Amino acid sequence: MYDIRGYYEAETVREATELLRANPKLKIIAGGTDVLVKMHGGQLEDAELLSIRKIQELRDIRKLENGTIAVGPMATFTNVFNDQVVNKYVPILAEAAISMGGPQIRNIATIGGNVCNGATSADSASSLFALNARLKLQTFQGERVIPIQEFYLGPGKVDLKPGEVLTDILIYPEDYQGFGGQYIKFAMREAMDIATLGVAVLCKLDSGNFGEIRIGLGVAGPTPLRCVEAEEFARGKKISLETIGEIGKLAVKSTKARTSWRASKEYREHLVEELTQRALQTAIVRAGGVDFV
Amino acid sequence: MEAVNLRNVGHSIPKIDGLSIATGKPAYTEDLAMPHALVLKILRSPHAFAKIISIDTSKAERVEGVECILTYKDVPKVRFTLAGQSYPEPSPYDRMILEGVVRYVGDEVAIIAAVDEKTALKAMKLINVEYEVLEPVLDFEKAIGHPSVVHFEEDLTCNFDIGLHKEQNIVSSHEQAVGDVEKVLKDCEFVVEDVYYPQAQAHAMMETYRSFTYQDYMGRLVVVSSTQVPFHIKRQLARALQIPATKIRVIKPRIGGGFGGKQTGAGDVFAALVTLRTGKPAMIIYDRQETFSCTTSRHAMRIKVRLGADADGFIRAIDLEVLSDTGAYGEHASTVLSCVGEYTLPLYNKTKAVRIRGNAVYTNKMPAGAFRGYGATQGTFALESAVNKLAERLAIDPTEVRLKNISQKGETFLTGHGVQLGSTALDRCIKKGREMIGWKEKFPRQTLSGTKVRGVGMAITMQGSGIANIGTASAEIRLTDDGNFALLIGATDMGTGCDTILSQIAAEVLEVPLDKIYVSAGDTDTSPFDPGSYASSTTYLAGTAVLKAAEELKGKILDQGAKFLGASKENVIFEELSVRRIDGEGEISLAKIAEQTILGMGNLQLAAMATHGSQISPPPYVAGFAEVEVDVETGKVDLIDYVAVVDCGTMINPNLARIQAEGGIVQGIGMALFEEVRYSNLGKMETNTFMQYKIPCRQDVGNVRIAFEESYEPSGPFGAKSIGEVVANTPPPAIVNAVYNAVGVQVHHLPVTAEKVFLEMLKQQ
Ligand SMILES: Cc1cc2nc3c(=O)[nH]c(=O)nc-3n(C[C@H](O)[C@H](O)[C@H](O)COP(=O)(O)OP(=O)(O)OC[C@H]3O[C@@H](n4cnc5c(N)ncnc54)[C@H](O)[C@@H]3O)c2cc1C
Repeated sequence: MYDIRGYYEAETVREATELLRANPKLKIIAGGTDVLVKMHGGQLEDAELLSIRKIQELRDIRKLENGTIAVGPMATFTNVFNDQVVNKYVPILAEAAISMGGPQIRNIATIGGNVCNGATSADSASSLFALNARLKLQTFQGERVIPIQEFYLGPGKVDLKPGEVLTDILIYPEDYQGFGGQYIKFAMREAMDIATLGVAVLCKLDSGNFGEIRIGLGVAGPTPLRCVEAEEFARGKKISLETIGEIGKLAVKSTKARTSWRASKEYREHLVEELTQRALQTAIVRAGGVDFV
Repeated sequence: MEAVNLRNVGHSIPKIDGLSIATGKPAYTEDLAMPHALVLKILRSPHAFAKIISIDTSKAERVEGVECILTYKDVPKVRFTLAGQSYPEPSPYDRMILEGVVRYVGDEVAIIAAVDEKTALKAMKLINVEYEVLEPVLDFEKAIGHPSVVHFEEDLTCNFDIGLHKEQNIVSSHEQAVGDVEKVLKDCEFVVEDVYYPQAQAHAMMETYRSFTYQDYMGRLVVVSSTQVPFHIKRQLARALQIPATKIRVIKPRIGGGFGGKQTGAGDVFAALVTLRTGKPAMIIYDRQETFSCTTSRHAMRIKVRLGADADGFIRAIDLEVLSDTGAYGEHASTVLSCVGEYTLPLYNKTKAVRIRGNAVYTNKMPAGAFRGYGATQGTFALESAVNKLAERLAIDPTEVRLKNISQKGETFLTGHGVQLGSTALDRCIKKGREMIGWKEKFPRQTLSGTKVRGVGMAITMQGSGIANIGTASAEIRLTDDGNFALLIGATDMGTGCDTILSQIAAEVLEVPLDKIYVSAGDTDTSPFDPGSYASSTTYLAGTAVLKAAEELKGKILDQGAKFLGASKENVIFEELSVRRIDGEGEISLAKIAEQTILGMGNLQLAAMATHGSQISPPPYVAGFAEVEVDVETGKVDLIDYVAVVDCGTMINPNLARIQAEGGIVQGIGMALFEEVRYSNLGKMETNTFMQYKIPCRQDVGNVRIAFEESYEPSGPFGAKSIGEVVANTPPPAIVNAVYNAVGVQVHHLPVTAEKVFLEMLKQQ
């Protein structure tokens, strides 16, 4: 049962922030695929909703003049998957988008909602972590831009201050140019499933050696995370199966996997090791390197 | 009747209700409910096992809009069963509508009836219940002799001896043996022994359980229910509510799927009780969580198999030992248990001794109940897994082991009381299936790369067609005043398409176009008796009843036509909707006959009624073949191809037979790879949403290919047998076998998950 106490609609960001200032208790609703499920399950009672669906500018995905990719939070997963800018410059985000839910859910669920919901299993998060994405958060008074890593505080907890609206997801040129990558979603089902593990790997080559690699993982801890130790190990190393194997092992060190009904800790750790290597191998090929498979 | 030159039977006629349902016409229980009906909610037990010390409903009753709140103090003190089975039911009378003891998390504590859902839920929160929590029995392997006794009450009764030992938590024990199994096993060159654990599965039908009740102007209780068994529901309500059966009318509208789940009553008694108490219409709709956790599931089992073969590869002994988890109440406990052997042992008849024995036990979990396959599914998983193991030991191709050992037409089998098998195309099914899957090239495995290995596996299965000597069905056909036909049946179409195929059978016999027949079904006031749609009965039993009624009616039409034409019956024929004299000297149309008999001077409406039961339950067969791809680094299993070749006798409607088969195979794939009803260590169901309870989606089932090898069953209508259940049985053993053939991992506990396969592979290294 949906216990909706009030419903407001904003047509501009300005209007949204004003409404939020007047009533900080308003709950933002984008696609509603998390919000409504929570209301139905009784986790969110007596809600007053603020819809931002009519704010057209929040839907755009564009490449700015300085090369930054700006993804509007109201872009649906279908929008993201089909977007030319995304496919050309950050295809790892398109891979994440198509792995999510099913067609109906992808048509309504937004990438901003995915991020703000704060789940470690969010399919967009591993890729956005690997891409060092920044989030632009606006209030009535002003705005701030923070790295996505700092936004995630704990399971379902994000650093969204009262009155704030997420208005852009930014990916800087140095974070995608020259990288190849892959997102692998490991789940029990091929569609309509929450990830058992999400692995996003980006890789930049430096004449036969690893230049820079980035490993973003979902469901390997209470929040999405980066495998810093493995990434640092890789820098400048010769590309070989041995190095890749070592990277896989080191990736496990950054995880805080736990046993849940979906999988045991041991199995999840094994998946981290194995799938990191797999994604890395593909990333190497996509970055123009050797094919080990 | 021979299946040649047929105009209706054997044709893929679209479901007669298909378009209406697809275009959203009001067809289901909720669509038909009165808008002002009271809304019911059930307060349910948070404990797996507890006594209710006190219930305080006074605060809740004061909530505006609450009509009534009923507790165990307000119900008749009589025990009954929710199992929809023919009287006398073989399930124990072990439950009351509400009771002072709760036996699983979700067991009913109080019924709240209010003007709307919100009010009912608000009131529910204000009910205060004090429990004395008891130690629950959760592990079914520890149920026998557990210090806690799930049913300690004195007034639990059975209609006949089903081997109940309630002080030991045994609801039913069963043993059937022919020959000396131990002795024959000792003489066998090859003996295979193994234990298998088919899991509890949820029906996961689209339409959840629901019921709408009201009293008509005569004070009779009318129950509109999403049920497979309207007549059984009527009898059940009469007992539970202690009112005469004549005071009850049950109507079955369109049903959004049942898969056996709706052979067990759910909310009907609660809605009916409220209507009787208040005189007002009432509606209960189980939400998805209640449907998952407060109804029934498939019986989880442990099945020990011993199989013996001689040096030539003939299976000489089969021994099954079963432990079945029936949960908190014994719906279908004894019959599902016995069906484990009933529908597996006759597969192989080169045996000298066979035995099945076992117990069904009470535990403090949601009850198990009827589920498509009904014990055969679990038995097939165990037996066929063991036969695959035997084939490996014998170093004979698994398809050849089957071909060598299966029962053939005209033969008998040990548990069959000398009855000869009337029809089987199982040998053809096996041969065709292995060709379609590419068995010769693919068995046992192909290595695709360092990480991907493919394997193939197979299994065969049978079911029954109706319940021999128990199941019956009646049908009536009337020539209506407008020259059309009313087909009255008690069979319950739950999306299976039986209204369509029964019309086809009637049209075939009457030699009229299908659109001259309309179906009136599933209303206990007007339909002739039918136990309902379960036990794979409808085509075989109701189909024959329709055939008989149609034949009789056709005879009457000829008689009457001849009379009007002044000829003898031998000198007229039925042709182009008219009765004609063979000598061409006159004819009378069907419409005219109808008019003259009903409206004119005939004074006799032509109608025929037939009841049919069968002394045998001829088995349909399936040979199932799976090809899987296993990722050796993660253990993930992808189903690439599934081939099922089906012998259901004559297909009355090939399209409908095909979708039954496809749906059944997919449900079996779900059981093999995805689905499992799981409980926490406190006995709370963890898989009570579609998020946790995974049914396969389209992308998970690979390529499902169905083929048919028809046989002709002499005792069935136009040679037909059943199809609804048999199709669900092969995927678990075939897929488990394919995984084994790919990577050497034998999974004993369903479902086969990536994690299980991977961890087993690790152990083997
Ligand atoms: C059937 C089903 C399948 C699913 N499958 C997947 C899956 O495979 N992978 C996956 O990752 N998720 C999945 N989800 C979860 C969900 O769909 C996603 O998290 C989705 O991206 C949420 O987006 P939304 O637009 O629906 O968010 P909403 O539900 O509208 O909002 C989610 C949260 O974000 C906040 N919010 C939204 N937009 C903003 C904004 N601009 N500024 C500030 N706060 C904001 C809301 O207040 C709320 O707290 C599934 C959900 C369902 C129902």
